Amino acid sequence: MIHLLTALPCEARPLIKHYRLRPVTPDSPLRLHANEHLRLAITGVGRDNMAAAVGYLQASGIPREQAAWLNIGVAGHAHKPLGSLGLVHKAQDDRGSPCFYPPLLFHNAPEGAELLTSHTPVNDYPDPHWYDMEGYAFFSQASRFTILELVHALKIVSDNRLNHSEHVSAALVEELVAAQLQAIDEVLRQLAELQQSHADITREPAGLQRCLQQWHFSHYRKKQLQGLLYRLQAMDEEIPWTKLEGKKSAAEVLATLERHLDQVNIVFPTPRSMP
Amino acid sequence: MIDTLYVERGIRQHSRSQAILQRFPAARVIEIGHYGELFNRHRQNFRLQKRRPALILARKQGRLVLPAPTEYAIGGEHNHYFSHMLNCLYDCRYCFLQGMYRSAHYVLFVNFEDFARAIEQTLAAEPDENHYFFSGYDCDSLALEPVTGFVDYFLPLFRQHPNAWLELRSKSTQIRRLLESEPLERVVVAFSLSPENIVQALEHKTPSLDKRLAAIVKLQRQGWPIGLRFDPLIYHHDYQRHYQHLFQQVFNQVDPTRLHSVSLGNLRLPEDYFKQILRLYPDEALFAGPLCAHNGQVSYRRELEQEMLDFCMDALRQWVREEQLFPCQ
Repeated sequence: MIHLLTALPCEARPLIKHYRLRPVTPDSPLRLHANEHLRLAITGVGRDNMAAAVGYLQASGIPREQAAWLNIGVAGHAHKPLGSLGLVHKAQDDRGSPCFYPPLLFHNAPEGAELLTSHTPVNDYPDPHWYDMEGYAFFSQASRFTILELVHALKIVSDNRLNHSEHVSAALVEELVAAQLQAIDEVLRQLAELQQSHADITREPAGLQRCLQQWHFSHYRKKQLQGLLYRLQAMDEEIPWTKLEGKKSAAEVLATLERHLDQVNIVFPTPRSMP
Repeated sequence: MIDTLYVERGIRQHSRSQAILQRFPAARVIEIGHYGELFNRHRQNFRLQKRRPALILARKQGRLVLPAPTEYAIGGEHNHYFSHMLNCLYDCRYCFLQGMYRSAHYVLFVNFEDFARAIEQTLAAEPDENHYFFSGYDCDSLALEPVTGFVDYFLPLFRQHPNAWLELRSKSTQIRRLLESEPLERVVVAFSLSPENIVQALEHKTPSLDKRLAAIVKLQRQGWPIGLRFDPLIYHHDYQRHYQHLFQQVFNQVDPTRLHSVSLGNLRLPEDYFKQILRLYPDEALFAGPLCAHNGQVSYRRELEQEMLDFCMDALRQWVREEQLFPCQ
């Protein structure tokens, strides 16, 4: 699942249409749209709204290992043409808080953007930053819930020194976002792949739930069980259920698995070149 | 290979930084205050980051030369290490760096001049003693040589000081600069070697055993002192046959009489690092082996360690003199 967050409805509309997102939970304090893979929240402008929205989405029941986060929104820049797309590679705020550097693991990633989140609108756009009002809060909050590799932001230039923010209309923003849907698609595809890899790494070993249902394990013994099941998995070994039949306690289960593992050889395949 | 460079503001104008930036004209360059702002921060995943690590150019501050772990000794009493880099181009599954750092980015400290000063101060403190310096503790000494220019800079320094020894420890075949230089008897080029099945299964992104042996042969022919490092020894089914075959392969090509040293070491990881690595690679066969924790270290069971070490030592004695052998226990 990828959590998509936009500040404005006009930023969200092209995404809702393109990804065929449907409204969910009409009584929710946030406007949410979702499909099977994406959940989009329209947060409202500013850091507080963004921070609250991230917290709300995190609490909405998707396990943290199974979620990635993407903020999509417009930004100002001194001289980049309207519609320019940037993947944030550095995010800071105007209070001097520590910077975020999202690790860039994407192939053919969009141009990099150094984002400065300001609590008031910026009209002179000092170089080299991209300016918005939510991005830093997004990184700051979302990175509490997952690894930094899975927290990213895409910014689209909506205003610059020649086209000031007061001239930006909802229709223009929609147009600018819609024009970048192909690039957004690609980032989402790669982000979903990274998220899946992370989920695979953190996935519990096969057989764990069955064991937990059958015997009572303390927290400590559950960890031991998990370790032994991972070892079996690493050695391509089936869980010896028949040996576990009739075991009365967690301790007996662990001892049986230990004994079984001791008899399994660690094999690293022999190269063909070896006699 | 490298498409993102982070550069500390303070060393951006350093000539070495400039040369490296020119080498990667298409890379995105991100200015930072200090490498600690992003390297090793919480909530990063080494395994995912290893897919596309960035290069961080930084200045090393504080103590630049440190006492080397005792198991590194190859005959000297005064052993030191220095790390011009953190992290490695390769991805060996047994490597402690995966557990030590949360980031897989490479950090290159470009202030070689400060390392040189610290090395000279160390030498000057006991000028009548031989000092051994190890450069491959937190990185592979040679793997990024075309980018770092490490050999170019440090060889002349060690040439100047008759009591200074250097071990370059590597799995790399980046030996061009060494081959272009006059061999120096106090600079030991030490290659880490494992049986080919271990190379394929656990030493990801490294040159094959054959390529490493070819590099060793070239360097040895030119007169460079060579070290062989069978470290760590990896337990697996039929390990004796695989290690015996490895030694045969090595000594079919390498002249044992002209080796500087041969060392062997067991797999040892600090328990905290081991736990961290296991979280990253729970499905790795290496960690399904007969490992146990003892005194804060994870290793094979004592009797198994001894068995492996004895076997390999005995096998190596067919080719190598006792005074060339350095078992690390």
